[in-house]
Amino acid sequence: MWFSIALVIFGLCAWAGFAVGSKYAGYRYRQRHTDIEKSYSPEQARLESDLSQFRSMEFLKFLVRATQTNASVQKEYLHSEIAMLEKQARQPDMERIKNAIELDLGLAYVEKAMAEERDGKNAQARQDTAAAQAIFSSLGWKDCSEETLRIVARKDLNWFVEKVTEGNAAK
Amino acid sequence: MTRAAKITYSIAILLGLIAGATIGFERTAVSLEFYDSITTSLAPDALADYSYLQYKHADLEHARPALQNYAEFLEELEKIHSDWLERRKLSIAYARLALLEEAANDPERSSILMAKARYWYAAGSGGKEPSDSDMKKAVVILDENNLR
Repeated sequence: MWFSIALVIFGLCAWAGFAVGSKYAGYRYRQRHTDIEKSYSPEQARLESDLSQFRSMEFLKFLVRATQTNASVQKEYLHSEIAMLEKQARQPDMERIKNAIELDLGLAYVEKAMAEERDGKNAQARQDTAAAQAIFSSLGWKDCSEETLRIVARKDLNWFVEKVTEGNAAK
Repeated sequence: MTRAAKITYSIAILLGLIAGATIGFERTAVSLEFYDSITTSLAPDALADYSYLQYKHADLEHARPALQNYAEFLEELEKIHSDWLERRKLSIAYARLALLEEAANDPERSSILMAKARYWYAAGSGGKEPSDSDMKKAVVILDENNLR
């Protein structure tokens, strides 16, 4: 009996320890980055801030593209990507990269429209396509037709697959 | 509670905390390192993709600032982190800008931009500057093959 209690105590403490360990690793990571940032010149700090925004943009994009074979997971990441990009686009001091964020947002909407269509949700797909068309029109695209946007989105997805394949071949 | 039980519980608490904390720390640290390694190489790609797609699909008023923004970004990056690949990308960005200006009937500006493209190409390859026609041919091939 008391051995079972010891096992439960062990499990609970391991769970608590896991949470503390994870938090500490996150704290150490942030601390290391803060220390590095302190040594930056203002010019470098601005560049690093832009790079950091690009990193978070690209990371979600990477997850969406890397999960192309799993439709439900990909759709989940697409929702996260859209939410994050919309949040980023609203932030101040984003002038230099705002349009790049908008373009990614437009592509994410096209990809989501294709995913919704695959699931038979045509009304949602039309809504997403309209959102994408509004974005690409504001970016000065000469042809914002659904067909062109889907071709560009597919090429963008294939471009990632080619890059990964090239990377693996190089290894 | 017996003495043996007290000792066992204390050991369980200690071992649980140590094992959990070690695994939690290691797993999170590895994930964050993976995030860092992946995003460092991905970061400039976001702007490269944007400038390329604007160059291919947008009107001149929107394509020009996208490429200029990308070239300026790469020049700033070059000052901090010098890399032949970034210089090569810079060269292609300027060559694309030159082609845009040429299409917009501004040969003078096109020629200035092509000179920058040639300069950065030579700086990236450590060799001689290519001719304007070679630069144009290279960009046309890249564009035809959807290479950014």
